[in-house]
Amino acid sequence: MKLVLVISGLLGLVTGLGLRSKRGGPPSEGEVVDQNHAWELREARASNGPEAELNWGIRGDLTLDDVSALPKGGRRWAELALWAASAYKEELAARWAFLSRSKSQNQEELAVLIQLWVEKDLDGALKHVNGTSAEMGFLAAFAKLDPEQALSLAKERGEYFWGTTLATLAESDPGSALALLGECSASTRSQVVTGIAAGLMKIDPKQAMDFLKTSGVFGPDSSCMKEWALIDPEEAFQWAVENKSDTAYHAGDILMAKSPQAFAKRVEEMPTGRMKNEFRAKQARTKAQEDPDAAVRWAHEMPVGTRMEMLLAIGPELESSDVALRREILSSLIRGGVDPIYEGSSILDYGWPTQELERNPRAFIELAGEYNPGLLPSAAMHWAGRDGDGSYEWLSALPKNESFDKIAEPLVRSDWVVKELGYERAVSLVNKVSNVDSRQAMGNMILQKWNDQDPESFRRYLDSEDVLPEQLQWWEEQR
Amino acid sequence: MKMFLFVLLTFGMTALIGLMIPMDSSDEVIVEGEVLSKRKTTIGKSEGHNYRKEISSVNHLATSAEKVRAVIALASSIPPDELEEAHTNGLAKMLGEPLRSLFQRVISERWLEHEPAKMVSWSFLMKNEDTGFYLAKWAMLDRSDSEEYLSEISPELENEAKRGLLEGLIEFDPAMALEMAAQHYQPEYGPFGGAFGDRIALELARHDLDRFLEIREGWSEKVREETAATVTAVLLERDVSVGLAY
Repeated sequence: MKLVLVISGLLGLVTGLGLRSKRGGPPSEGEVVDQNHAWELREARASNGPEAELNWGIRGDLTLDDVSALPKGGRRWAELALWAASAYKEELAARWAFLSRSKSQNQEELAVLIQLWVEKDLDGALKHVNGTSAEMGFLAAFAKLDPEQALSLAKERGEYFWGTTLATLAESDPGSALALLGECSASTRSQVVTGIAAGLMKIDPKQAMDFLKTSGVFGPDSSCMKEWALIDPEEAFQWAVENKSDTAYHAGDILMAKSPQAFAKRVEEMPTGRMKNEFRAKQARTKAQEDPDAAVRWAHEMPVGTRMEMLLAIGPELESSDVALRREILSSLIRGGVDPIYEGSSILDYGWPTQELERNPRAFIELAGEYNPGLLPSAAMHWAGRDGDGSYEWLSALPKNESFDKIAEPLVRSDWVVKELGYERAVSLVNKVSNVDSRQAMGNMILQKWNDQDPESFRRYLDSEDVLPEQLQWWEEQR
Repeated sequence: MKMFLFVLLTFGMTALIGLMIPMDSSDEVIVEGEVLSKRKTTIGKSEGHNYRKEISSVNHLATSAEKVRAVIALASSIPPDELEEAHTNGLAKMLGEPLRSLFQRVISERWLEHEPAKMVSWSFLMKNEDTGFYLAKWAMLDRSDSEEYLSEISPELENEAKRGLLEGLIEFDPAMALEMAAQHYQPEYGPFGGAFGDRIALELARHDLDRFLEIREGWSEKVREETAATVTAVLLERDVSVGLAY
């Protein structure tokens, strides 16, 4: 009897341990699972085929609550994907419902979730997404499993769904998508062309770019170009330059980062023009970051017009590293006058010379007055708009002549500058204008504004000794 | 019959005891150990680090679950000093979505942890939309280093970088974003120069209006005027009468 009881007890213990082992402990808190979930998770993982080592602190066995507590980023995304890879279809449905309801939908998480869900429970996933905005995501995921069925299902839903699904398929099978391109309407064609190009990129980037160029939908695409340039920057850059494509800027950035010498050589070989100058400016900036003096010497070796462009490009790089050199460059730019290549533009069309003018206006103005008087009206305008007192002191000391007229006119026509100077000082500048017609026109305009804005001080001006007879006459006519 | 019931009861009770015995952690190790050994056979790096080949093999796995595991394993296992190459060789592009983005995110964050300045510079070079996210992550890892980087960044990228950083921080650590906005202030242009747009100001004010108002007190009249609408908007959100009075 005792023996029977012992055997029975041992059998019971073994059975109990066996069951416990198979169950693998209680399900983690927060998981929407039945009590056998953890065991099934392990089963699921075992059936996921060859396993690979997880590093970077990624565990792959976190509960959904633990995953949700992680900060947004790669770890959280990876843990969620691993959770989803071994989750029950009911859990995926619950998570999907939760994410779909949440205010800030995380598209990255949704995309992984739907892909895994579709594989585990196609009908269930379809039932959940049917008629919702997630239908397209479902079709894209389904297309990876069964392209024909996905396309057929998409067609039932209309042209937009069909085109988008075909575009997804095109990434993995560009040839088949190309065969169907003729069936696309104008509204979906662009998507499918993009998909085909993405698919071709994996096989032959040049073919992909040629296809985009001739597709009649887009020109060459910057994203494809960056992708190509990462693999073969020289060839990609060469193609873009030869095809006069703006994607050359993307390829150029990557070529310069990967091989500055090759970039310099290719730029030198380029035909003269805007693109070549812009690439040279890029070189100038990079050189200035490494060795400002060498960059300036290099710029001075360029022909005159290009030299100005290079020096203008170098300036911003020296703001914190070499202020003295930057001022030297500014000085040589002012001496150099207006850039002959960019007719009509002045150095004040660039940000950093204006910044220098704002920091040290008197020095800038004096230099411009000596070497490049053409710069004075716009320089004075910048100064007066920011520093009424300082600029007025300088303006009022200028002799009354034609060059003063040229400086004063834009100032008094600008509401912004007049606000900074004040009406009294603005009118005193008008009164110094030597050309009578200009003076009267400007005077009438500003006096009218003054009267509208501040009639009391305007009347005081009319009673003062500064008022000109022509202004009194104008006022009489107005009354 | 009694005997049978007694034996059955004994069996049942001991089975129950068996179920209740706490699981030995070594059990888990054995199970995990088996899994680990299997993992090592597929994603080992002993044969020439041919990541392209490995990614290509991922594409041939049968199920998405397998692909997810293999992609995460590969992305998390590339040695830190090879992460730059993994980026510049465009490894992620060999995968289809959503695995491509998942792989890219993991290797980029790992590179950021290893060589933040290089990673962020690469992200700028590629005109990556997520650069702000990485700048914010960097600021959270090492605020002073990230600030030093920003102070030396090419003026061309300065505003974009600062805006990206603030937008990223608003999501991860709005308190830090607020303090950085207070610290990096220019009387003429406001916090972070032109990068401090209305949306950023609004988010920061929403996060901690009292602190926002405290910081704003130190700003120039021009910048205070520019942010007055933001303060009003947040006050209105909280209490219409207070907002209107303001």
